[in-house]
Amino acid sequence: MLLFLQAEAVPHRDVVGFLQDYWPILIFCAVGLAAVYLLLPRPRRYPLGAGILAGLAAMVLAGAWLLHAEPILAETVLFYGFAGLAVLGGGVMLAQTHPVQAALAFALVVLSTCGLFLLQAAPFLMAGTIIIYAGAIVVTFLFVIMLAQQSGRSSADQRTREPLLASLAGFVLLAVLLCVLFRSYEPSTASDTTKQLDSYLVKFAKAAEVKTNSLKQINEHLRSEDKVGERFVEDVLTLVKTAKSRIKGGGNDAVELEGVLRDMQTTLESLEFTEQDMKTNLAEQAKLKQPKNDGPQRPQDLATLKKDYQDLEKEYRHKFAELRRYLAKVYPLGVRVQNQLFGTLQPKADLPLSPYSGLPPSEAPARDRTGRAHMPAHNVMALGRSLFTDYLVAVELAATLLLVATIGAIAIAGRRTEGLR
Amino acid sequence: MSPVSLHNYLIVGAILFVLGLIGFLSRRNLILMFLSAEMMLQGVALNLVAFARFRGNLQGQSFVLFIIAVAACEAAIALALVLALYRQRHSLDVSLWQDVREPDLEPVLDEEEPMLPPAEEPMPHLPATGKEPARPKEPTHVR
Repeated sequence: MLLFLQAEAVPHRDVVGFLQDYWPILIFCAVGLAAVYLLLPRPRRYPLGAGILAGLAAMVLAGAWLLHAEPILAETVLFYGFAGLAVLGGGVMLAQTHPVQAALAFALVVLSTCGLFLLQAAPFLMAGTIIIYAGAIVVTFLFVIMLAQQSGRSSADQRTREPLLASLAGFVLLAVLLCVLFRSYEPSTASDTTKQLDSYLVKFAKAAEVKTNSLKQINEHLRSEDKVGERFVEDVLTLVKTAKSRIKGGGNDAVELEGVLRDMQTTLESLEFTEQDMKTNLAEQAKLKQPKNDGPQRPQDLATLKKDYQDLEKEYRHKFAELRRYLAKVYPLGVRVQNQLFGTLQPKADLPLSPYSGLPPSEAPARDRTGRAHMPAHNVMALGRSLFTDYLVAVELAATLLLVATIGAIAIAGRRTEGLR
Repeated sequence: MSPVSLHNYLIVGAILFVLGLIGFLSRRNLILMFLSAEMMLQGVALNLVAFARFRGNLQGQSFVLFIIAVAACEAAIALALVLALYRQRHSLDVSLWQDVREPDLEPVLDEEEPMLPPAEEPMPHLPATGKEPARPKEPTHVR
């Protein structure tokens, strides 16, 4: 099953290749379609057991093939639990013939979604959703159901309109969504590739900004964390090669980036040699300068050594300037390659957002060891600041909308004049 | 790599959205249709929160707050409408409002209820008259 997730996303044009790559999604959608079709209420229902079995099978397939959460930590367990409860609640809501029980199933969906919100560092939204959805909206729905339908289930609840076409439409949409998702965000390898490329590019940009002439300081920026002391230019080269194979038509920017990286690698190596030569030259000079009791001084050797040293230094400076140019080229090129890889759906870098709403869209967020982005502490406070700085107009508009909705609800639902009682 | 990455939440959001879509398209109870629409909103909100977590900023969460506000408005208006409609037809069945369809469309008629043979009433069981019911013998003791 993991074989599929790690498959390379090369552009497909034929049906067979598509089927080979996306068969888990298609099987999941087919089983889910069967489950929903069997479960939707109708006058003569299919046996409930078959529908429930198909639904559970679809959920297990989705958990095994589509979701990809490792290692098994508390968060993983909670995620699977809440996600399973949410989907289960949704299925129960579809299948219920009794409106009150369907509303309760919807409350279950809302509560599990709130659990997922909490896992995603949104405690205020969790509380707000529980209060507003599960508290207010579901209770109001139940009120209306009880007001309007004292006699329990009606014939409208026993029937559905076009169950086959409706579930077909839904699951075709789901299959399309999942295929696009897996095409662009491959969970295991590609997301790692993206993250690595992202962090590497940031490091390149930082190295290009360093105002120094020493190779050591540049090298400090170009170190990989897991391999101590080694530069990661080779890793980036392999990453760029995979990127190049994934971009339709090769991608000129990826080719150029590859060339720049190759040149940079050779420059780095020759810089190291030059530095080594300079060091040995200096050592020899020092040796010659020392008064020795056995051999005679040879001033002409010292002069040639000094001249060599000057040449070496000139070469070093020249190569260093070259390295600088390559370093400055890498980041913009890499960003363009990433945009080609993952689409250019990026917000403008100069969007008028204050720092209260988090980082500007052009910057990569700081991530911790596990790759999770840092969130602002004090969720409620940060959310309030963001709302009342960047989204103030939107807040006012939402308030106006609520007011209008209240007035509208009163106007629509208000009893027509039936005389005084 | 974090244990539960972004795409997991996107998948769950997509599944919730699609379940809500199917419910909205196929259920005939007005209230259940609106509940399904709310479930679609939940799927979208899950997506936005997951993206906010992924990007490490609060814009997605702010959007979800506005979604909640709009959902509250929608619920208020929808329930008022449902009540108004219920008053006219005395049912929550949306198929009763087929007269607002396009003039050249055929009305959708319910399939007939499956014709089941009428269940036979069991004959009433009358006790036989003139017979003494069996009863345990009273213990008699004659000396």
